[in-house]
Amino acid sequence: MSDKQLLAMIEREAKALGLSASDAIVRVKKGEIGENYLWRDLASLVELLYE
Amino acid sequence: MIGDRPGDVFRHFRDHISSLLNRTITDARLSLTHLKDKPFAQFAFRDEADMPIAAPLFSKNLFLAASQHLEVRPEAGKWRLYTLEYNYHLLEAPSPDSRWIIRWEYKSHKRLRNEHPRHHVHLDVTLKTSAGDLNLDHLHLSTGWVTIEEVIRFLIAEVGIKAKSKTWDDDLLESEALFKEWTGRSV
Repeated sequence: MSDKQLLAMIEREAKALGLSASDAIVRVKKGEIGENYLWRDLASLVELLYE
Repeated sequence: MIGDRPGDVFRHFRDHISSLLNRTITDARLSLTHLKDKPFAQFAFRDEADMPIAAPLFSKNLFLAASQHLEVRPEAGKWRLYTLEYNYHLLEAPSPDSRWIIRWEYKSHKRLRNEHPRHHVHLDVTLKTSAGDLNLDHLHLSTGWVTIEEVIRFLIAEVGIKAKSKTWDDDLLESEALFKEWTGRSV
């Protein structure tokens, strides 16, 4: 998988949470994530992209 | 688990867990997300649009969302697998934001420090105590390392989920033996 494909996954999940990808990434990086499974998955993908 | 290339190690482990789930409680396949040549990966159940979903179990109209965040580290010219995070959520519907019943979770100290117990479970209940309410929805109730095998065993033997075959416990024991061999852990 490429960075671009991973970012597209993040964009789709962020949209499902009513956020832009950049807003979601900022919230994940600040640790401000929700408890539901979609948020946890999104946080995991953001970590994959940046770690 | 050890292998020659990160991608091979991640795929081998995903295939093992996916096969175990498919031989016991669900037909859904785990999807692996891995940036080429990076030492991290994640697997989860996903739909055709790559959105996370909870897998339908064989009975009771219950659903399991399962994911792990993985890392490989170099060791003697090869790559050894580590789990940095696991999430096993029992849900009432396939949508990841549907009502949950039990959540078993773990986050490595590499990811989270000075917070709640790394291995924990959440239950959708509040206990009334002399010291006040204990809300187990929000509190992180400590556990040991909860393996996917034990989650499957709980679902079949205690929740009453229909198992795919009568050999389900043999399948779990065999997988637990591999877990011990691969990790050196005895859980």
